[in-house]
Amino acid sequence: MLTPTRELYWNIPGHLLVYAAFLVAVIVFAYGIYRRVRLWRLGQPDARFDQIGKRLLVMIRDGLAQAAVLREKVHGMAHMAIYSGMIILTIGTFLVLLQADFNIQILFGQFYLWYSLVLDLFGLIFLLGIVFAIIRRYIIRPKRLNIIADDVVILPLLLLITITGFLLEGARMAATSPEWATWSPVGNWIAGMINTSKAEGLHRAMWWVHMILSMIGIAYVPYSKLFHTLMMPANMYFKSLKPRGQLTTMDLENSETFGVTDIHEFTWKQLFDLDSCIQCGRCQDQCPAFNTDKPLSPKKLILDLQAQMEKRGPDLLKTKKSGEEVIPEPIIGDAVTEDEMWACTTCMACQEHCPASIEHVQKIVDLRRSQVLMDSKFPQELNLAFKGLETNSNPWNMGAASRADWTEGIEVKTLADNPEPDYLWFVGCAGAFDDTAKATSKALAKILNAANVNYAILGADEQCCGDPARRSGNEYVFQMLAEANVEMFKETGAKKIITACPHCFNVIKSEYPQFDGEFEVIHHSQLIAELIESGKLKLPSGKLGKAAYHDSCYLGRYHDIYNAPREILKTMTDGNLTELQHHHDKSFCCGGGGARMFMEEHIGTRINHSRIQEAADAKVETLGVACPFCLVMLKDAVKEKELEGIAVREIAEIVADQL
Amino acid sequence: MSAILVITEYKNGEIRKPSLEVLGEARRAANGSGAKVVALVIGSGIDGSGLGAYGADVVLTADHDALASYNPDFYKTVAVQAVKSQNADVELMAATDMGKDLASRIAAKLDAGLASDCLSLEIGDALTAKRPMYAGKAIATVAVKSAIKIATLRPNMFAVEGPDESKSAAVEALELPELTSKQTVKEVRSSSDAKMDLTEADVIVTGGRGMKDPANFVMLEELADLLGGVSGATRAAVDAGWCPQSDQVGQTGKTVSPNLYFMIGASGSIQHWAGMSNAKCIVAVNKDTAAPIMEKADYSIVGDLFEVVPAMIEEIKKIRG
Amino acid sequence: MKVVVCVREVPDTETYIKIDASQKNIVDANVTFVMNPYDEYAVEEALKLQESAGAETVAVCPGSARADDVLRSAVAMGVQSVIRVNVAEPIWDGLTTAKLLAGTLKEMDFDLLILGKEAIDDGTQQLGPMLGELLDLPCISLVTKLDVADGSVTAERESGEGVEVIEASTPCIITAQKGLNEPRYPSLRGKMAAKKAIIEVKEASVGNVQLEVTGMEYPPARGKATVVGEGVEAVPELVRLLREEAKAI
Repeated sequence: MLTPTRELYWNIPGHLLVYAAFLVAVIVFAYGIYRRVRLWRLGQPDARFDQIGKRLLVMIRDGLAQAAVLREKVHGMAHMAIYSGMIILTIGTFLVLLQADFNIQILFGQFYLWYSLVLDLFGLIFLLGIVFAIIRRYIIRPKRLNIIADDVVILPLLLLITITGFLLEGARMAATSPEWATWSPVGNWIAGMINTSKAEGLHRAMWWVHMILSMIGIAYVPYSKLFHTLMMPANMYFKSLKPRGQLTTMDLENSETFGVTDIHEFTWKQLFDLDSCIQCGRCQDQCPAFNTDKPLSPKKLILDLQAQMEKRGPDLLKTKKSGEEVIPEPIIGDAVTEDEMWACTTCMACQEHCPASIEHVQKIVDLRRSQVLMDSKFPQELNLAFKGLETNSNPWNMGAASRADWTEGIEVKTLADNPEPDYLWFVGCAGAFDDTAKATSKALAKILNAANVNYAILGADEQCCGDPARRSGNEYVFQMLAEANVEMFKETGAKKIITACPHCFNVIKSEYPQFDGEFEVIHHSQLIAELIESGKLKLPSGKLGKAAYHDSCYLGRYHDIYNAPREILKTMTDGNLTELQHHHDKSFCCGGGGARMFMEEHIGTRINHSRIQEAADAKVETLGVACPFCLVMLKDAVKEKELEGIAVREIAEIVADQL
Repeated sequence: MSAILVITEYKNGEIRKPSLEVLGEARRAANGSGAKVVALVIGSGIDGSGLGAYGADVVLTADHDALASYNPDFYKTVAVQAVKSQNADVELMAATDMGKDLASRIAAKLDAGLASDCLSLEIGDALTAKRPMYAGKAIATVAVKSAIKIATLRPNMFAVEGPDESKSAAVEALELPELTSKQTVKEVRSSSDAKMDLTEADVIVTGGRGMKDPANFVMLEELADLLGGVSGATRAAVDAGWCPQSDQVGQTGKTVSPNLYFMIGASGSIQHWAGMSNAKCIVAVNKDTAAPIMEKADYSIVGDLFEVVPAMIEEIKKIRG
Repeated sequence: MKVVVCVREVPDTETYIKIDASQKNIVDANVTFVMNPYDEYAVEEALKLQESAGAETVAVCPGSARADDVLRSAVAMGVQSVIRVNVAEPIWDGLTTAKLLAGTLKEMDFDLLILGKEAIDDGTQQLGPMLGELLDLPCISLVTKLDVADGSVTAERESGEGVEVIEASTPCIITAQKGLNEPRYPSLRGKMAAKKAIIEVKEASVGNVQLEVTGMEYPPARGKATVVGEGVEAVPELVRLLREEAKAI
C-alpha cells in the first residue's frame, strides 16, 4: 500500500497566485481593522489592560468554550457547529501551509488519514450549521433577527465556500481515486457522482473559485459580521473585572462635562463594545422593557450607537487631528430617544445573556448622567425623588426625622440601645417609609429577635443608600449619600451589614468600596437561610401551598444569590417549589429597578403585569419575593389585574408568620 | 376701641359665609366694649341691609360699577376711606384669597399690624390672636399693638351670630374717593358654576395615591355631592396629574377646616396633615393599618377603598331615604 | 430687563416642628431649612425670562447667614446674582419685613419683582401686596400664568373666585402660585457654581415691630382614634357613628 498522502497544489498551475491573493486579502483586512481602531480611539481612556492572566481565563471560559452561546440549546449547537468547523478547517489549512511553505512534512501516513477524516467531517458539520442558520434567518425568521445587507452576503458566501470545497475535494478524488478514499466520506460520496473524465477540469475550476471566495471572506471580515470572530474574544478579554454591574465613579469636582452627551465621550471600550455586537438579539429576548412594548431594545441601542459612531467618526477624526474644539452632537434625541433611555430597569438581563460581553447598562446610565447632570432633563416624577434624597435622604421625601417611626410599638434595637452589635441592620428607605415594605422590616425585626441575633439599626441617622440616584444618573446625589453612609458605618465600627433590600445590598457591597467603604454585606435571605440551617429558627413544614420564588435582579443576576430565598421557601413547602416561566438568570424584572420605581410607566404594557401573569399561568398560590421594590410592584400588579388568588409575600413575612 | 370695621365679601350677590362668621365675631367682641360694628359692603348694586340681623350696627355701602369685582386698588382705596370715615381702630375680614390680599394692602397703607388667618381672637388694648404657623404644626399667639389693628379670620372657625331678624342696621352710603388703579382686569373666568372653594367646604372627600387612577375620583365626587361637599386631593394625586392643583390640600396646597374630612387611600403625610388637621371630624379609609392617618383619624375603616367607598355611598343613600 | 426674585428660608414641609423652652420659637436643630416652595416658582419664572428675554436676574433673601444656602440654591438653579438682607432674628410682623425689604428693593430699579404667594412658615400671603403699596407699584397676587411684553405684563390670577386675566405696566410685582411653572432641578454645573457664588450682604434696620409672637403651642391633640372595623361590613357602623356620635352627617 502507498503511504497515504496527497500532492499539494496538484493539478493547479499558477498556484503561487494564492500568495498574491492572500496579500491583497490581508491588506484589505488590515485596512478594515485600522478603520475601526481609529474610531475606537476617539473614546475616552479606560484601564482594561491589567490582569492579563485573569483576562485570558475569562476569554477562554466565556469565549472559546462558548458558554454564553450554549445557554440557548438549539441555535447554540448550530453556532457550535459553525464555530468548531471554522476552527478545524482553519487549522487544517494552516497545516497545509506548514507543509507547503515551511517544508514540515506532516500530511502523510496515519496522521494524514485522520486529518482527512476530521476535516471532511467538520466540513460537513460546518455545512449543516450554515444550512441551519440560513433556514432560521431566511425562512423561520424569529423576531429578534432582522436581515441586513450583510446577512445577504455572509451566509451564502460561507455556503459557497463550503460547497466549492467539497466539490473540489470530490473532483480531486474522482480524478485520482486514492485507496484511502473512505477516510474522506463526504468527498468520496461526491466523487462517486462526478464523471472521471471531467474531474480534473472541475477540480481546477472549483479550486480557483474556492480560493478566491475564501480570500474575499478573509478580506471581508472587518467589514462584516464575521468581524465578531475577532471582536468577541477580544471583547471578552477586555471585559470588566469589577463587581458585576458596578457603575463607574465620576470625578465631579474636576470635570467640565458629565456623562455622555456625544459619542466620543464613551470610553474606547464602550465603542469597542459597539463593534462586538453580532446582532443575535439574545439581549432583546430577555429585556423586560422590550417585551412590554417599550421603545427600548438593547440590541437596537447598540446598533444605533454603532451607526452614530460611524456617522460622527469623520468629523470627530478631523477635529481630533486639527485640535479644533468639538461641536457636540448629542446622542439623545438623535440616535437614541429619551424614552428608550429611561425605559431601562437596569435589570442586567441583556448583559447577562450577551455572548459578546457587551456592557449595556453603563452606557444607558452614562446617557442618563448627561441628561440629569448637564441638562436637568428627566421624567418629571424624578424631581420629587431627587429633592427628597437631597433634603430628607429618601426618595419619597418623607421627613428624615421620621425614618425610625416604623419601629413604634415593636421591639427594634437601635444603635443607641445596643452600641456594639454584631450586625448593623441597614433598613433602607422602602423598609423605613413605604407602607407595604415596612411590614417586611417588622417581620425581620421579629425574626432577628426570635433568633437572638445581636443587631442594631441606625435609626434617623441612616440615609438612602443612593441606588435610585445613581441608576437614574444623578451621580452627585449618589456620592453625597454614599459618602455620608460610609462615614456613618465607619463611625459605628460596623463590619457586617444586613439589609432586606437587594438594591441597598448591591450598592453597599459592590459600590461603596469605590468610596473606601469595605463591608461584609449580608442579604436577609442569606441570614434567614443560615438561621434555619443552624437550627436557630424552627419553621413548620408544609405551611405554604403551591409556591414560587420571583428572583430579584439585584440579588440574582447581580450577585448570584438564587438559592438562599428558595431554600427558605422550601422548608415550608415540603421541598417543592414551582418555577415561573422566567427564573434564575433569565428572571423577568418587576419593573422597579433603575429608579423606575419612582417613575410612571406610560408606554406599552406594564412590566409588573407581565410578570404577575407568569405566576397566574403557573397557578401559584404564594409568590415569594426578597426585595421591597418587587414586593410593591407585584402586589400592585395583583390588585390591578385582579389576581387576588396570588399572595405576593416577602420571605421575611412568610417566615415571621410561622414564629 | 371705638369701631370695628368688617369688610364683607359677596359672591353672585350673596354674602359669603366666612364674612358672616367675621361679623359674628365682631359682634361678640363689640358687645362688652360698646364699640359699634360697621359692615362695609363693596360692590355694584348690592343690598347689604340684611346684615343687621347678623350683628352689624351700621352697614356702609360702597356702590360703583367699577367695584363689581375685586380690584385691589379700588377696594383698598374704598376700605381706607371707610376706616378713616368711621374712625375704626379694628378692621376684620375673612381669610379668603381676597381677604388676605386686601388686608395686606390696607395694613401697608395705614401702617397697621396685621394678624392673618386667625383661629381665635381677643380684642383689648392689643389685638391678641391665635394663628397657625408652620401650616398648623404649631399655634402661635400673636399680639398686634399698632393704633389700627387688622386681622383676617380663618373660614369655618368662628360661629355666625343670628340671624336675628329683630335687629336692623342703619345703612349709609360711603362717600367714594376717586378710583384709580394700576392694573386692569381684562377677563374674568368666574368659578360660579365650578366647584366650591375647598376652604369654605363643610365636607371634603380627599383621595390620595391609593386612588390609582384619575377616573376613580368620580366615586369621591359622588360621596362629596351626597354630603354637600367637594372632593380634594393629596400632593401625590396632584403631582401625578390626576387632579388640578386647586384641589390640593396640605402645606403647599389649601389649608382647610371642614366639619367632616374623608381621607381615602392617603397615608396622611405630615405635610398633608398640616393642611387639614383642623377638620372637626376625620374619617380614613386605608388598607394599611400602619398608615399614619389611622392613628390620627377619628374614625377609620381598614379595607379596600374600592369596596368601602361605594358601600358608604349606598349606606348614606339608604339612611337618607 | 431686570427681574428680582425675593426668596425666603423655611423649614422643609416634612420636618417635625419642636417648640423651644421660650415657647415663642421652634428648635432649629434637626430642622432642614429649604427655599420656600412657592419661591421656587418665582425663581423658575425669572429664569424663563432670563433665557427667553435675556433678563438680568437677582435673588434677595432676608435672613441670617444660615439663609445663604437658600441663595445658593437660587444660584444653582441659574440666578445670576444674590443678595442677603441681614436679619439676625426671625421677624413675624409682615409689615416690618416688607419695609425692611422695600428699602433694598427700591434701589434695585427692577422691571419685575416675583415672589412666592406666601412663605410656608407663617403662611400669611402678606409680603407681595404690602410691597406693592410700599413701593407704589401694581402687585398681582396668586399668579398661575405670566406673559411679559415690552413695558407690560399679562397675568392670570387664580383665586377661590376663579381666574382673572390682569394687565399691568412694569415695573410691577407678581406673587407666584403653584401651577405657574415646574421649577427646574439644578444642573450639576449650577450646583458647582453655587458653591463658589459670592453673596452680597446688606444690612438693614428693623423698624417698629407692630406684631409680636407672644407664645407658641402645639395644636390641641385630637380625640381618640377609633378603628371602626374592616372592610364593607364596618360601613353601617361608621355611618351610624358619624350621625349619632360625631353629628357630622
